[in-house]
Amino acid sequence: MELWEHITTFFSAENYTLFIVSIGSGILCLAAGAVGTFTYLRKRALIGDVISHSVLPGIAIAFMLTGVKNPLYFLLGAVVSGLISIWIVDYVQAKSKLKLDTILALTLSVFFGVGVVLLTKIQHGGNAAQSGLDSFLFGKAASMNLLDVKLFSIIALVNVACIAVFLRSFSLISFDESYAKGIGFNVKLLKGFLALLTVMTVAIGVQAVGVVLMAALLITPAAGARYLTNSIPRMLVISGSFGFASGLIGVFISYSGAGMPTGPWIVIVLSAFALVAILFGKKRGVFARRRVKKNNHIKINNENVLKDIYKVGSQGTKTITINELIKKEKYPPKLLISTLKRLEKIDHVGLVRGMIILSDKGRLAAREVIRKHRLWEIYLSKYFQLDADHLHDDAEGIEHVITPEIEIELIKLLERPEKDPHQSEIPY
Amino acid sequence: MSNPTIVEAHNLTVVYGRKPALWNVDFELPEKQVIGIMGPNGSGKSTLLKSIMGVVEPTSGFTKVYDQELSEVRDRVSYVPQRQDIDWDFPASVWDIVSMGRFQKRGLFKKLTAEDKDIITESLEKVNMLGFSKRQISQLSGGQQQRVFLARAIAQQGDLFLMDEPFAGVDIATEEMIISLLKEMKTAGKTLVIVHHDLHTAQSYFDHLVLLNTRLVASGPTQDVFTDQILTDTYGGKLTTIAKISQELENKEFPIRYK
Amino acid sequence: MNDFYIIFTASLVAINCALMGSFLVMRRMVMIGDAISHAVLPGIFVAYYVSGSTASIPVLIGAALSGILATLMIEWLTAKARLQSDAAIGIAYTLLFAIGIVLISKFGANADLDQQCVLYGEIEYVSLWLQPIVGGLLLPQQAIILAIVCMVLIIAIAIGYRGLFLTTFDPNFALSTGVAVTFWHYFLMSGVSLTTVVSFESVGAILVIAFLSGPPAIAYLLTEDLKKMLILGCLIGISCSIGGYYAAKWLNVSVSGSISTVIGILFLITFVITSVQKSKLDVITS
Ligand SMILES: Nc1ncnc2c1ncn2[C@@H]1O[C@H](COP(=O)(O)OP(=O)(O)OP(=O)(O)O)[C@@H](O)[C@H]1O
Ligand SMILES: [Mg+2]
Repeated sequence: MELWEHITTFFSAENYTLFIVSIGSGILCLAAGAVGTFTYLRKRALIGDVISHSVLPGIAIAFMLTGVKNPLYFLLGAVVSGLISIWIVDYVQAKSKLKLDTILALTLSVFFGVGVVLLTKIQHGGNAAQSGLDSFLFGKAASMNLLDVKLFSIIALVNVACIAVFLRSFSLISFDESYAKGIGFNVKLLKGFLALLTVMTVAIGVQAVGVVLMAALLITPAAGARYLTNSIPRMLVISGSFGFASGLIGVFISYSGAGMPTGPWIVIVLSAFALVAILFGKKRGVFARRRVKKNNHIKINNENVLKDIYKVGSQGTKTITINELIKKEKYPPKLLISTLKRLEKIDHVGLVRGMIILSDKGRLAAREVIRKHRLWEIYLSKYFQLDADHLHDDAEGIEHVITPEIEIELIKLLERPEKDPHQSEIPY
Repeated sequence: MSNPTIVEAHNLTVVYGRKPALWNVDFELPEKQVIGIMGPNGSGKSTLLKSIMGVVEPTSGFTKVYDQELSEVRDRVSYVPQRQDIDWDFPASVWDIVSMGRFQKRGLFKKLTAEDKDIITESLEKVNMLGFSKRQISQLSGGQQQRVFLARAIAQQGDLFLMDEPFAGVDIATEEMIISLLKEMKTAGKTLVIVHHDLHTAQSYFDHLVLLNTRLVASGPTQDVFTDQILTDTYGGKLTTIAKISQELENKEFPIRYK
Repeated sequence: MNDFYIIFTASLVAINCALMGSFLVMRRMVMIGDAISHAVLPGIFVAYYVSGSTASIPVLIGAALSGILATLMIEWLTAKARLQSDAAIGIAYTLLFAIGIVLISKFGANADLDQQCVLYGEIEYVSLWLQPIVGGLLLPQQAIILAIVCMVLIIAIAIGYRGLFLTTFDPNFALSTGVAVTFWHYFLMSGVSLTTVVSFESVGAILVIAFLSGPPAIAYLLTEDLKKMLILGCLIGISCSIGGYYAAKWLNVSVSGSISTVIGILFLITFVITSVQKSKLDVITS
């Protein structure tokens, strides 16, 4: 109940500012999640890290020049120093033998070092307004005022709008840069524009999570979203929503535990979201892939058993008993029984008092597997040098993988053969 | 005249992730010959050399050298990796690189002896690079880099040489120099296995050919294997089905063998 | 004397980092060093908290454990979950670092460790923990540990130089001659982890990365011999420590930040000079 009270106070009217702040943080994280989708897709996670660290000197210089904590000036400073860092990375990479990872680490640490020098200079300078500048290290959303939040939200929304408008172009350069160039896109301009959006997002995002953890805001929600969908627009939406929710929850937690920095909590919440997506993603998730593997084995067992039943049948002994099949010792009895039960369920076989009767559907399926097996043997023996005694083993594995399209292609390529290399008929 | 077998691959399958790079490859290579390994890009040529050399572990099957496990005869085999796989901006001199050829004999912790140094000098001389021994490797041309690698392999003093594209990025003069050196080595009783790309020179360079396209398309004496039919099969579109099946295996996470 | 203590400590960190960083630079693994230096935080904190002291053995164990945890996480994310490797590194270390910061802000008061010192270190205060060694000579506790690690690293590199050189330059060839490449990888990574952890305490995460990447990168631009690169890297690191310290004193700013800045400036100068020389050379040769 205490928690509930907590939540109600959090959203109550007295806490109007806090409410606004949390919504503001949510929007910042939303923008980061959206822009970060492209950072992730373009495999620039570590560059995101560099940009995040590199905005610090810009912010400090902005403060030193103006002497006030105006978010607009901070933003300007951050954007300028962020862009400079990207430019340095690109330039040094092009002009020296240094490898990217060295340049990234060096740029990141030097920019951050300069930032720390400036911050300590400001602190020791005794300017009354300096307090709170170090919240840029780990983020303290609560120190934002209403004006900040309004400004950042506007920028975040502009960012999101730009992404919506340029969705096609950005998707294209993330997918295949050289192709995009080939069909006449101005890739350089687009990349520059995307970099600008990224830097702007980082510049406002550091308000919520601080420079050290900003990279997570870009990458983690996008990585999680990737496990839930294959479409870029959907990825943007999911990643943005992850971000928004984490921003909200992060502020809430840091408000509850007094003195807690916001950034780490947002990152922890985000990571939890991502982990859930990585584990439970419908198609790409860890469990989903495990399921697919299991289904593969089921398919292989089904088809193998079906094939054996069919072969016995076409050799004259019309039906076969379960015991006879067990005696062949090809499968562990337990596995065989469960496979047969499954086949019965999908009407491929009928099981009557220990007898196995192949249905028409089952017969067709069995013929299909045998056909694929034999086609594959012909294909291998025709185009490859392979000992005859290896053909069968090989086809035993591949018969389950050949899709209808590949089968049609094989039949065409081999000109609809009648017999396989062992002179067995091919059942069409 | 058929020479005894020096390298044998049996049912060799190498899978990266789920995608096969080599698939059920079976062959035997004859001793004391110049053997070419050819096939389109990505057909598994480098992977083949790497699995013979124990650089990648086969997923199934095995290879043997001198009818033994590689570990028994490692000191008789020299390997020249693909030049593109190396960072040539590495801070090292030609001498440093060629002396690597002696590490195996001398171990990683003992000093190189005067004998080792003689061997290194000799190897550099053989490839006409002695004058460059102090040179930094970043200042070498493509052909010179290739020759340094060759010298390193010679310094290992093996009997069997596996070379990954020693003619890539090399001008005609250097190529001729290298090939005549290789033929000389063959006369001296060495066996050379060479990954090669140029179909025009294949017939004149190689006694024996292995044609790959993920699977083994053909392996045999050059005059038997170097036919229009087989070459079209290796390089033509007939084998796209293999690629599609590989893709299926990868996408659907199918096991390559069900046993 | 205080000046000397600080410079001495910073220089030891610089040497350790230059030795390891040179190999990381050549192996394209500097960002892994970056990840480790952030990811050890929760382990360090828990060790501080539990043991209640800055005694280095528990801290080392704690750091090692969370370093291993980070490695396992990255491995699980790339191998089992098939996440692209840059993102896996990014996610793993930000999460561990975030957890570390949360722990510190919750319980930090009891373990005299605060958020800033994680980033900047506390090198200004090394002389608070002096330890007598032979002949009545006093040295900062940190410096003694760093010196021991430095000795270990120098010996390890002297013995393992050939193995590190071979496996860094051409791992495939190394494997083909039967060299255990994986062993040498872990050999190096143990050194890197050790360096990161003991340096982290005195100079903070950011300067560790600057030391790992900067001096080796500068040395790499100046020489084409790995041995010279190692020595030059150490000398550059020491010079930056001295320059950075006095600059910090003069400007009254953070020592770690100032040393990073000096490294950056030195890199910039070296980069410009070597580029100009190279382009001159190109003009002559063409
Ligand atoms: N380490 C690796 N991880 C994943 N896939 C790999 C790896 N090495 C090679 N492959 C893939 O395996 C296949 C065969 O590669 P391999 O290098 O053996 O080909 P190749 O015949 O030497 O090609 P090239 O002519 O380009 O040198 C390619 O599809 C390649 O992408
Ligand atoms: Mg190759």
